[in-house]
Amino acid sequence: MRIKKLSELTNKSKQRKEKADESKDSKETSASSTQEEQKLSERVGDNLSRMKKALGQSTDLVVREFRISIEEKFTLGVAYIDGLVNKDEVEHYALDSIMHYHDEHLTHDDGIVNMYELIKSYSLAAGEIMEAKTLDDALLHVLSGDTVLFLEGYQTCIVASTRGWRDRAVSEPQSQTVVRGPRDSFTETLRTNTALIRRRIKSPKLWIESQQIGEFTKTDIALVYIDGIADEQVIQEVKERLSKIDIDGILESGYIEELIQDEDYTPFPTMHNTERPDSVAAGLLEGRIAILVDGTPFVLMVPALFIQFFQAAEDYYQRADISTLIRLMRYMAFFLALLTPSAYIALTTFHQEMLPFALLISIAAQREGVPFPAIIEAFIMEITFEILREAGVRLPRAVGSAISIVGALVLGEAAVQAGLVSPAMVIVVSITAISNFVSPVYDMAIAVRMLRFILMVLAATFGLFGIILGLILMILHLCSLRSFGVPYMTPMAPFVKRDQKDVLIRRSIKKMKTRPKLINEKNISRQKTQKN
Amino acid sequence: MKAFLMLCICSLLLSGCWSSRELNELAITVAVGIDKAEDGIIVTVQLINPGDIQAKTPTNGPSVTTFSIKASSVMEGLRKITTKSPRKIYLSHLRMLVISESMAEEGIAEVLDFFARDHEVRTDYFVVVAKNTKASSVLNVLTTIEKIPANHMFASLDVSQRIWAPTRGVKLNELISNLTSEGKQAVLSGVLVKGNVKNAGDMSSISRTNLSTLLNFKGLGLVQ
Repeated sequence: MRIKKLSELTNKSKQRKEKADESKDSKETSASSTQEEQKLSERVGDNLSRMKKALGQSTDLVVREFRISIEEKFTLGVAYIDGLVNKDEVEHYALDSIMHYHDEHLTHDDGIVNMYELIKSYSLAAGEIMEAKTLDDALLHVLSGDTVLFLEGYQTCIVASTRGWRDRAVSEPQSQTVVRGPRDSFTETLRTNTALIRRRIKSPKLWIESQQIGEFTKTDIALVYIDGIADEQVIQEVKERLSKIDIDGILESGYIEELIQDEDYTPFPTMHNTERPDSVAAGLLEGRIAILVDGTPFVLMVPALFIQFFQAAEDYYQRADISTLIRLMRYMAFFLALLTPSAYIALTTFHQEMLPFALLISIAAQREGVPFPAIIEAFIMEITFEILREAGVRLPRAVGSAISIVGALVLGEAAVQAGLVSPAMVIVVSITAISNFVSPVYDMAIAVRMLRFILMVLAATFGLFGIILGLILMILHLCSLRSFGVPYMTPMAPFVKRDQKDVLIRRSIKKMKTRPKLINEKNISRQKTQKN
Repeated sequence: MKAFLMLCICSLLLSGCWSSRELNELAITVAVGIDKAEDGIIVTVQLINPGDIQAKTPTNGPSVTTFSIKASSVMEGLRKITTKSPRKIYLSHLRMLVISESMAEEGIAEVLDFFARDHEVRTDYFVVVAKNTKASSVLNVLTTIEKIPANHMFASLDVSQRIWAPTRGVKLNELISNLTSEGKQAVLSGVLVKGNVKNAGDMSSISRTNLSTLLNFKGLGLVQ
C-alpha cells in the first residue's frame, strides 16, 4: 500500500520536475545574455568598485587594494563583509601569508610566474579555498562571510573561507528539557548543528546534502540522513519538494515545514521538530531524514508519525518500566487535555444521571448562583487561560511575576468568589492546562488545544454523543493523514505487530532489535549479534 | 452536495441543545411520597436545596424542601408540582419511594408502573411503607448526621439490614420482580415517625442532641 503511494508521489514529483526544468531552461537563456557583464574583469580596481556599486556602497563592505613584488607591481584586492568574517583569520591567514610569501620566494623567481596558481597553491594559508568567476558568485561568497581575493590580470578570483560571526554558544534546550540526558541543543548556526549530529554518529554513512533556498535570504538548508538506513524514495521526495520551493526568504524551519508538508488542512503536525541533537540522532538511526535550516535551532524530521509526539528523549535514558508508565500517563494526559472540559459540559448539562449522587450534589451546590450555562462558563475560563498563556510567552521578563499573580489570584480565587464560575470549573481548566503541557513536543499540544474547543461546542450541543462524534471524526482524519508517504497512525493503523514495542509501552533496549517498519524497509536490524 | 450540506447544517443547528439541562435548572428529587386522597393521590417530593448543602459555607436553612400536591396520577402530580416548585422535578437520583399504609393496602400497581416505565427514573432506590402515618410526614422529618433525610433513610435501611436485619431494603426492580414471580411474595419495610410529628420539619428539631423526631424502620409488610 505504501509502495504504491510512494510511486504515486514520485510520479507526481516527476511531472513537477519536468515543469521545473522547463522554467529553469527559460531562466538560463535569459541569464546567458547578462553573463557577459557579470564576468569579472581583469583589473582589480574595476572589480572592487563594481562590487561596491552592487552593494550600494554599503558601509560594512571592506575592500582593500595592495601590492606585492615591488618590481613587478603586482596588484591584489580583497573584499569581505565586516562582522561576518573572522578578522584574525583574514589578517593572519589571508593577507599576512600572501604578503610575506612574496618576500621569501617571489623575488628569487626569474621565470614568468603564474601568480594565480602560486598564491592559490603555495601562499594562501586559509583552510578552505574556492574560486569564483562571476560577480554574482563573488558577491554571494562575500555575503556569506568569505573573503574574496582579486588578482590583477585574472578573470577568476580566489575565495577563502573566513566565516566567523558572533553566534550563540551551544546551550541547554529551552523547549524540550530532560532530567537525565544530554543537555546540549542546536544553535542558530547550521555548521554547529551538523557538527553536533556528527559528534553523535561517527559513521561515514552519515551524509549531509546542502542547498540554498530563498531568493534573497539564500538560507542554507542541509539534508541529513544515514545512507543505507533512510529510505531512498523518501529522500528523493524530500529533495523534490525542497526544489519546488520558490520563495523570497526562509527565516525559520517553520517556513520549510509549511511549504513541504503533506496536508495543509490539519491541526496535527506531520513533521517533527526538535532542538535536541540526541533526538535527531535517534531519528536518523530509525531511518528518518533531518532537515536543518540555518538560523534556527529547530530541526525538522520526516517522516513523522503520531506516536512520535508521545516519545520523549528521556524515555530511552531511563529504565524501561518507568518509561512505559510515564508514556502511558502521557497518552492519558493527551485525552485529559482533549476531553476534560467537554466531558464536564456533557455530564453536567445532559447526563446528570451518570454522576454519582454525592458528586452531583457537590457540583450542583457549586453551580448554584453561577449565572452562565456550563458551556459559557467553560469558554470564559478556557479563553482566559489561553490569553494568560499567550501573554506569558510574549510579555517581557520583568513583568512576568506581576502577570502570574494576577493570573493566579484573579482567575483562580476571585472568579470563584465573585460567583462567575464554579470551583469545579477551575479544577477542570487547571487539569486541562497541566495535561496539555505533558506533551513532549509542543506541536501536538497545539493540536489538542484547538480540538478541545471544537469538542466543547459539540459537547454543549449533543452531549456525550457529540463528543463521540467528534472523536470518530478526529480518528478518521488521523488515519487519512500521511507524512511523506507513510501513514500517520503507523504502527497502529496499519497495525504493525513488530513495532508495538515502542508505542504504548517501551520495551527494554535489549528487546528493541529492529528499526520501525514502514519508515525503513531494508536495513531493519539494530542489533546484529542477536537474531530476531 | 449543497443540499446535503444544508441538511447537515440544519440537523446540527435546528436540533440545538436538545434535552440539555443546566444543573441549576433541575430540582434534584431524592424522595417521593405517595399518599391516598379521597379522589386520587397526594404526591410529595423532597428536593435538595443545593445552596444549603455546601460543606464549606453551610447556611441555616434546611437542606431539603418538600412540596405536596393533589393529583389523579403520579405523572400528573410530578408535572403539576412545577406550579409550586421553581424547577423541573428531576428523578434520576431518587433514593427513597415512600408509600403510605393506606395506599399500599389499596394497591400500588399503578404507582409502580409509573416508576418502572418513566425514562428518567432508575430502579435502584428503596421502596418503604409509611406505618401509622402519612408519607408526607415521613418526608418532612429533618435528620442530622446525613443532612439529606432521604439519604439518611437510604443509609439507615441499608446498614440495618446488613448489621441487624430486622428490616429488608427492597429496591424497585427487586420489588417488581418479586411481585411478578410465581411462588414468591414481595415484602416491604415499614418506616415510623417517632416523637413530635408536627415540628419535624423545623430546624429547631435537629438543633438538640436528643432528637425530638426520629425516623425508625420497623416491621416488614407483605405486599399482595
